[in-house]
Amino acid sequence: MTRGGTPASRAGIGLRAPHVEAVARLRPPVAFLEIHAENVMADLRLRQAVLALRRDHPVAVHGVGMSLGAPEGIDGGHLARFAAIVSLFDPCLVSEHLALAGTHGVFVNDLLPPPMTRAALDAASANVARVQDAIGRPILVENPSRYIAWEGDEMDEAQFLSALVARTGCGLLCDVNNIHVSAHNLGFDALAYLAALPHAAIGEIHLAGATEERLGNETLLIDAHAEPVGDPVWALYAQSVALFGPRPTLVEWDAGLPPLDVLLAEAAKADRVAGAALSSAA
Amino acid sequence: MDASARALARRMDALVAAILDGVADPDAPLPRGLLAGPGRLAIHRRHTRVSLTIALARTYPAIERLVGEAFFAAAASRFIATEPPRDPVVALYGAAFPDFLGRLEACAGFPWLADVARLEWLIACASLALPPSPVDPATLPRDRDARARLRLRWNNAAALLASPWAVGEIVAAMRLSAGMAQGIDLDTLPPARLCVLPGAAGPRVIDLAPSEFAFRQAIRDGETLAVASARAVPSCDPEQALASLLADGVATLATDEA
Repeated sequence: MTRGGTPASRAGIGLRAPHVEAVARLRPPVAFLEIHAENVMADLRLRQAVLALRRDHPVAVHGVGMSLGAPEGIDGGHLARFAAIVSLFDPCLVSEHLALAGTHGVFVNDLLPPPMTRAALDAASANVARVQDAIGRPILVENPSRYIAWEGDEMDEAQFLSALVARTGCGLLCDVNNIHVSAHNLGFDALAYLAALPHAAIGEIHLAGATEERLGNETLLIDAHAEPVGDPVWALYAQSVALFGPRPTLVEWDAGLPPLDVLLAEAAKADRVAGAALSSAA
Repeated sequence: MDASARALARRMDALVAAILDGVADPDAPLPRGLLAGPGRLAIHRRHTRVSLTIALARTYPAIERLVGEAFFAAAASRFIATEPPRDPVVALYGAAFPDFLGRLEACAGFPWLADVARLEWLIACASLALPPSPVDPATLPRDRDARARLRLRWNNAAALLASPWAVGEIVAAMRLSAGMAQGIDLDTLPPARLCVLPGAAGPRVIDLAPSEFAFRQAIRDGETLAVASARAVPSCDPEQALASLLADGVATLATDEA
């Protein structure tokens, strides 16, 4: 999972195009920069700019369009582009989502959680194995954020991810905000979920802000990446670090992108929270 | 594929269809087997609609200003539902939007709208590409006959657009100011003959004379320099057209001759 410079178990930031110039100028002391693979597939200017940043920072590649949950298999053309990006950047970390991005060549620009069934596990396992074969290294698979669930689930998500790790040798990207969002929306215990994950397989943590939304009589959490990391997610992050130790951690922010210094402050806070959690655990 | 895999595939197909149907119609039916009311699926429907509408607005800012945010959002919803992305790279979404606008009955009174969108699509494509390098004219053969037989290789980062409407002026006016393109008299402005290509500071839109446009069109279509030059005359000096094309890096020296 790690080449191209192993990132320290500290915080990095999700690099978005509006911040590239400032990052190049300021060279902030973050552990790594994470880019979306799809953003540098078409945008050759952004690709060139990020390649230049790679001289100062380890770069992680995060896919958002592979559709690892697709029952019919993943798109060969997209996989080839993804493999080319991985080859070009030699990233410190490579990750994708346990999600469906579309079916039969039609995409919804969203990450839809698959059902937790043996058939879905078979499909995801085949897809993860195919990606890993194509890029010649294991990937980290990210747990989805959930608003919906399906009838007939045969296992919970932690069991599903554990089986995926066992079958494919992949690692996990533990998105703490997604756990918080899903646990709230579907009514499960976030700490029990964390405890049930195969900790040794966790190679990265994601943090982001969730947004509250009223829906009839209930309040849902939306994985909007549009605000600072909330206190419940900081608490869950501290518990994660206490449970399985520090990991390269990413602060994501996509909608309503703030100035770079706000994002850097969030990354610095992640380092402080992890440090405090380790001190308390010791 | 066994029965459970087929059932999974049907369920996932139904989910994607329900999301896309719901982009334009909030009352579209839910997929079977979903343990959630329409409000929860609406979160996914909204994400698809909003994120793709933002992507379209980023590519078509002049169109959004011309038709207004509300009409643009409604048109985008219909477009997303009927012509969803065929590629997970969202920057590549929206190539069919100009034709879609051209078919919209509500836009029938604005015959130039689709061509404005076509120009914006080319500008968006140029914004993703690296600027081409100028070609040194000295690298072309000196021999007159060899030069006449030469076919240059068109740089795919460059594109040509012809329109009966002054779409370059419309896009420039709408992108530079948030107001309407007042003061643009489409009846008096000449038709557009444009070359769009990446530049060092962003996309370049070059206004060409008809003869120079014809010259570049011939080069793009793989004609020899002799044919391209014949199309450039009488109102344009072919040597000048060639020098300008090479300086823009719109075409490069190819090795194949006629």
